[in-house]
Amino acid sequence: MDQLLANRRWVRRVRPFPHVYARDVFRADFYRSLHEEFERIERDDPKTFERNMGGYDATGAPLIRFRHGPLGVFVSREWHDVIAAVAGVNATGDINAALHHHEPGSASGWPHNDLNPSTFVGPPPGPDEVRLGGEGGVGVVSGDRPAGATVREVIRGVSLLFYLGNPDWSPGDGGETGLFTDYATSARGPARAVPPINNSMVMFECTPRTWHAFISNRVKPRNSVVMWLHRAKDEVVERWGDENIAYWK
Amino acid sequence: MPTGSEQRRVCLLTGAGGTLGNAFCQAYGAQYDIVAVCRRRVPVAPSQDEWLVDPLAPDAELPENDARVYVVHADLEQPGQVERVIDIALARHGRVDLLVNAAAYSFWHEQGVVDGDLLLDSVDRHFAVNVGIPLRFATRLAQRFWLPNDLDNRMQNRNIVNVSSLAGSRVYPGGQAVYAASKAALNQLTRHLAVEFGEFGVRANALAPNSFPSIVSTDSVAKAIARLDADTATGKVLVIDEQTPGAAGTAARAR
Repeated sequence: MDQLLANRRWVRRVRPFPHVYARDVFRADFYRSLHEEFERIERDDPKTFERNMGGYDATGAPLIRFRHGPLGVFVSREWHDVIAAVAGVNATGDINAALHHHEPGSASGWPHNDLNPSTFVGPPPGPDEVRLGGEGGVGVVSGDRPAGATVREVIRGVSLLFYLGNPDWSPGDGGETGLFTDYATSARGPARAVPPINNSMVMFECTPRTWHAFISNRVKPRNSVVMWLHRAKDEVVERWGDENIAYWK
Repeated sequence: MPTGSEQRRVCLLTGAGGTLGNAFCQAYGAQYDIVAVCRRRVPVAPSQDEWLVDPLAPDAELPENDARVYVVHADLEQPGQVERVIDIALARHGRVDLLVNAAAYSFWHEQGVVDGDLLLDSVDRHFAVNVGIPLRFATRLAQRFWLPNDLDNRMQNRNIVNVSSLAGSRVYPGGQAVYAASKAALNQLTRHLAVEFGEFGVRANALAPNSFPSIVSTDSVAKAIARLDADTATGKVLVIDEQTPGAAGTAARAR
């Protein structure tokens, strides 16, 4: 990972809720390969982006399909361990990751905290392994599974958005990730808006108070890798209570 | 946020989220304990709200985090806010060695004072922010801390730096009349403060830079603040201007 990272100084912020922000995450040549891979997928395989996220004005493509190319860095155990350590989360090795694409004019999302359950196939991964969302034909969100499949329920522990494949961003373009102080006043706008600047990222430990949302992009597309690490459900129940887990409806 | 134990000079800096405030925090955050007073924007420097982390060694102490900027959000135009900020600074550090009044209001109207009422309407705010607030900070700090500490003030070389402008002594185009008048007033206020505060050993000076960063570098203005802090001068208005057309660097002279 040391060979890939360009910036060993990420910014840890406490407002409006604890998160970490980084610019120039990867070395330029590696970022270029990510960018080109994203453009290749959009060009050669546009149907891989599906509109299947209820109430969310975006299309997505599971990263598991591209794990053998440069985008596979995001579902590597090494990256998992770096992110888990920075977040201070005892992560399970389960990763759900996708490419997200917002067409210009996409509607703003609603504030949500990401403290959602996920379903993965099989036993917990070993210390050098990862288990990816969608493996074994198991629906990571729906929990749907082939007959006889053994599955586990875990809870999202870390959210991460990495911006790539975007046109140059200017204030007023929209497409930021809004971070909110609370849900009650979210209609007034985010306390902080993270711009979709290529090769930058924002990440945070998921808690009941990590309210965030996509902010409408007015004129340019917004592209990102969205990924989650996971933690044991027992730990979440002990810290915040089962009632604070945002079960899918 | 990590903090060291050695004693540094305590700087109370207004306008800390602006161009100059940001540059000062970045350049001197490791040298001073800075109480950074911000309305909305904050300086890009490690503070209690954000600091740096090495992703490959997230628990490691980083030298950059040795900067100690403490951000205080305040709308200084609201009643009681100057006093609140001073109380926070004194509660946190027990003293203020350097007061930098860098917060400013600037509204120019190219068509001049006779073109409607825009500049007339800006008079009160210009003088409130560019003169009244620096005066209130200096006065309240004196009343709450400096007045009974004259020996210590002299020993610690405590002082005020008011960030004025070359517009306070020159006539520039662009409808700067009211802004320039407020900076001229700040210069004269500084001279008076130098005399009055001499009683208890606090110096007062002003910086009068040309436009930064377009004509003089912001770093040169930040350096001038630190230089004045280390100096013994008082009652001076230090001009910071380009040396000669096309020459690199800046020149400073006291008036």
